[in-house]
Amino acid sequence: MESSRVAAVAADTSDPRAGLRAVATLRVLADTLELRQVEAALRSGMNWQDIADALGVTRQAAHKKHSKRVDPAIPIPRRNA
Amino acid sequence: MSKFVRAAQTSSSLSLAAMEEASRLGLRTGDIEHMFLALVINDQPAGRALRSMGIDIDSARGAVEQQQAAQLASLGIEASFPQAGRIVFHETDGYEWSKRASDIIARSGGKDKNGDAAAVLRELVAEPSGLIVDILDRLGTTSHDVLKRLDQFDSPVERAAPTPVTVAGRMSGSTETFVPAPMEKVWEYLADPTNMPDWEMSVASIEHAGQDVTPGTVWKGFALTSRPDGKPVKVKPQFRRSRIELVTAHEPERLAWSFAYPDAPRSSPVLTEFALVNTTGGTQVQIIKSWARRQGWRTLVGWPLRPIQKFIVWITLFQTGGAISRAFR
Repeated sequence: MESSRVAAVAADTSDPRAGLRAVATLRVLADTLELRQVEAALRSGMNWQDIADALGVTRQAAHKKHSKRVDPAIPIPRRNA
Repeated sequence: MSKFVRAAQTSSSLSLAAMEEASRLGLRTGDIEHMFLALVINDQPAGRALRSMGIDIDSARGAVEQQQAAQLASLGIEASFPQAGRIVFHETDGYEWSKRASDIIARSGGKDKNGDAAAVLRELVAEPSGLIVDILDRLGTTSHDVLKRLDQFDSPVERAAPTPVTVAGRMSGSTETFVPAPMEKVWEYLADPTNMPDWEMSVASIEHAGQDVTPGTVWKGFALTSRPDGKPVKVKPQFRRSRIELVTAHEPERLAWSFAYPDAPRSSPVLTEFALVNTTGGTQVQIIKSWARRQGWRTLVGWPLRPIQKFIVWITLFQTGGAISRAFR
């Protein structure tokens, strides 16, 4: 979709209640995709620092949010290994 | 059953089912839509009421997906949620309720409320965001109709809690679970020893799996030795090998397996019985675990430990029930 059209529809504020709920769903989608990408990154051998840099957060923040949630079968390289 | 116990059991079974539903979508936070899905497959009157309205787990999942797709489209975003996969809750970690979902559970156990699944459903259809109302709309109903139907199913007569099963002369514990599948299919699943590692936590693999499934047949089971992440599991050597016998097999309503530890001669065999009954939209399964009381002075020593023992039995029953339900979702 062209960006101008996205802006046109998303800027439709005639029903803010529905709009706000839709934004909440969009956040859930973003969370789902974030976890998938983090798992893919760990599988490809990226470490927490690389992932944090790409997400634009600190290494500690990325680790705190995702370390427990990712698939435990992924071998995670340790920082001091 | 005290309100506290009922509320605790309700919130455990709803949490398990809701987190399982979240896990198949690649999420680690259970929100109100997952709580709704959990109620659809609940074994209490709340689940029966929803299913009697023609809402089953597939149609409810479909309604949630359509609702989310419509919301994204309303923002002008052409994207869809990744395809839902299988349930991975039992293999992963880091799950939690969203704030609004845990508030609903807390309120359902509040003053003048029952703390059962019906109380959770009542709170849920009244949640302020309107998401549940929209999902119900997609399922062709309203929160008013749900509450009306719930009143029929949640009458004091219907609610009469199943009396705890006692087995004469034996220690026992029992639980009930709902499985969204026909009775025959559930029986077949429980009668197939290759499925045992799914629902019996003490068994990780089975030997002689190809034998005929007739009462009196014996299989050899082996305990789990390492977790998926490679960490070893501590199991006492005498409990690593088990002798598994099919004791009763009345298709399609009754089945009993016995688990014994030949390397621990002092331990008493545990009998796991399944009683299947047809119910709205699937099968109600009663699971009973029982074993012989120890004789002699050890009964006295064991007495103070009874509450702990009861709790451990409840945990294993809960895991077995959850696993059977999971196999059909």
